[in-house]
Amino acid sequence: MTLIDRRAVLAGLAAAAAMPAAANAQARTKITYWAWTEHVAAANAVKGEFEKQNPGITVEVVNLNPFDLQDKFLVALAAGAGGPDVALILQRRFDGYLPTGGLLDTTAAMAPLKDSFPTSVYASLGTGGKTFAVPYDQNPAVYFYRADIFEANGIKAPLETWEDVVAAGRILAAKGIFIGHVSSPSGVPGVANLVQYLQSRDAQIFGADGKVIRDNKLARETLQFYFDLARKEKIVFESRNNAPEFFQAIKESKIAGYAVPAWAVFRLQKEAPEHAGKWRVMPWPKWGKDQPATTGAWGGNVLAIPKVSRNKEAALKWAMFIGANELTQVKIWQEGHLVPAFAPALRSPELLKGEDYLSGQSIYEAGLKDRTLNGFNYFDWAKAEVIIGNALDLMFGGKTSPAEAWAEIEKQLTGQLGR
Amino acid sequence: MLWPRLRRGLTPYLFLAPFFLTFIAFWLGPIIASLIYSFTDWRGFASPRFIGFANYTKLFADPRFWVALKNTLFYGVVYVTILNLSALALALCLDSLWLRFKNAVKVGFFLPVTISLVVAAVIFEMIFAKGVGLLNIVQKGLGLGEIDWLGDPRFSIWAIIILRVWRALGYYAVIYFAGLQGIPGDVKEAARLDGCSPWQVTRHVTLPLLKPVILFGVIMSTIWALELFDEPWVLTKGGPADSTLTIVIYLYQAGFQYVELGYAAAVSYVLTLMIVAIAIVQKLLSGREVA
Repeated sequence: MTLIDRRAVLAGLAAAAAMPAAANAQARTKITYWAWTEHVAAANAVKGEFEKQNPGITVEVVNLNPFDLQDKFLVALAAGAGGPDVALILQRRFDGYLPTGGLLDTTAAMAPLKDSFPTSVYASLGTGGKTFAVPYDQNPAVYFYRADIFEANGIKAPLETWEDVVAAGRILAAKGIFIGHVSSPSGVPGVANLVQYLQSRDAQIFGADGKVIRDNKLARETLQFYFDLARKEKIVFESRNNAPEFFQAIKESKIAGYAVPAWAVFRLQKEAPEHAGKWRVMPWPKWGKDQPATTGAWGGNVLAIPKVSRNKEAALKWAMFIGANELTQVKIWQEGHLVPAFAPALRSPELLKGEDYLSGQSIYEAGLKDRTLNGFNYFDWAKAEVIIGNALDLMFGGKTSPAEAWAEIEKQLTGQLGR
Repeated sequence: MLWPRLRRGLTPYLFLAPFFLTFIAFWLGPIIASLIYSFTDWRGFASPRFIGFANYTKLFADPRFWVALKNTLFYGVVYVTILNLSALALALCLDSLWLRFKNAVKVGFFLPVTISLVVAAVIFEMIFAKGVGLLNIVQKGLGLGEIDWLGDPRFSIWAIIILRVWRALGYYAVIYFAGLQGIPGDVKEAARLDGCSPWQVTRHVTLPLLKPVILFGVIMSTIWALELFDEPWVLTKGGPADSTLTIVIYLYQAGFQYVELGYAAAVSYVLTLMIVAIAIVQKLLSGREVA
């Protein structure tokens, strides 16, 4: 073999050896994204654009029950394997994932965008000046109401304060119609429902330092009010969240009000399509005429990336694409009426578009634009939800008064959580 | 000379090896590991630290554990009794000569076994619904008033029992029916010729001969009862006010929601010991003739 031949053979061998590397370079990186229902729809709606912008990355969107997702992700972090590349995490549960040390530090990526998110949302992303998530959405509440029933009973909407709601509720209750809903027995959604009331009043359960606020007068009063709506005034319908009897009552026009986040419009539309044009939306009532115009929230969501993800860079790109991008944040509103966390998206005219089901009314304009959302301190929420839920169940079961229930909540939270 | 002999001797063990390897890796290993973890404060994120019996002490001092234990035992006793008596009665009916459309009845009762829990839960959520549910409509029709089956702590465990019996009845009835088919006809015929009434034949011939099968049914259903998780988790998440909290839900919360894995391991060992103890007691109470 001549020298040239040998060189040719060696070059050929080198090229052959390099082939897998070249093939790998061209191979697409696949990332998995865990989310649920409306978030899955939103992700599927924008993933084509993401893949176009990032030709080397494909996204597999996995639909999971939100509570199963939270548990599986936590276990995956503990095990150091088995998780997705990006997971949608309930903001109220996020605190529990931080001690795992298993989340990717997003501080560098998020820092330039700090001013693009509400302070409370940004503050919930981590601890000690570091962030371990990308914001995704907020879940501020609005008040859906039946315009036809209000009008027939001489009730003028929007109702400005809770006092007005109670007054209107009494008028409707006399005719066997409820002006709202209370989750009883509570379970997790029932606790989220109560938190809306607490948050709108800035009645925190935990201080910013994570300690349980003792002898919490404001929270106790709010719980009393919540209880009185159901048991003293008897103006709200009591049932489990999403129970068949609740939707039956909606269909039978026995419920004329529903204080929930904006996504509930799809639920109403699905369960009572025949009521199209009868429902409207108004902002969350104030706690007094001179009180701030605020609202509560069901708890927003954030995007978390496990450190063990094999595609961290691609995962972060996807998280930033759906969490910190005007185009996709507008899409989550269009697909699921999830209120963007990314402030520039809130200025999009898309949010002002009307809903056919609400006779052309824009949920954002009529129910949210003029309300601010207080932050809410969630700590050890997986345990806290059980403690609060059980106390609410005993209260609605007639075993304790609201004052006793709140005292028990404080005692249990302090004792069991050591906070 | 030695190698062929050795190879012949090793061959069966090589064929058996996959089972033993998987048994050690996926059964024995985790069983031993979880026993060790039950004496640690392992939370999954840092190395476990040995803490002696602290998890067990904490467990017995936790009022929620006692609520879970009480609920599980109450449910177990009621469910096992109702299920086995109903399944036995159904199997005896199926075994009787006079029942027509026997196969249709068997299929009808066995169908719930094949239905997924999620579908069953959706159906039963509608049946149990307050006011508008089928059960409440029937109750009101009979003048029995309204019951919030899933929302009232006094009734929620009964709702779970109804659903579980509905799902399991066909399965246990088939087991008892198979047992009845195995009893020789000439024994019963001899009893009849001796002048026994149908009830006396059942009481003194059929049931004693069926005793091993009944014991099997009772032990199996007891084990399943103590492991109750799916139905209350799907329908009530252990509520309201922990009224359907079972030991396995308590274990799940500790392990997978609070990630207190050492503590959850301790809960699982207490549950295992309970199941073993109850199975031994049932075996002893059933008498020697079963053995």
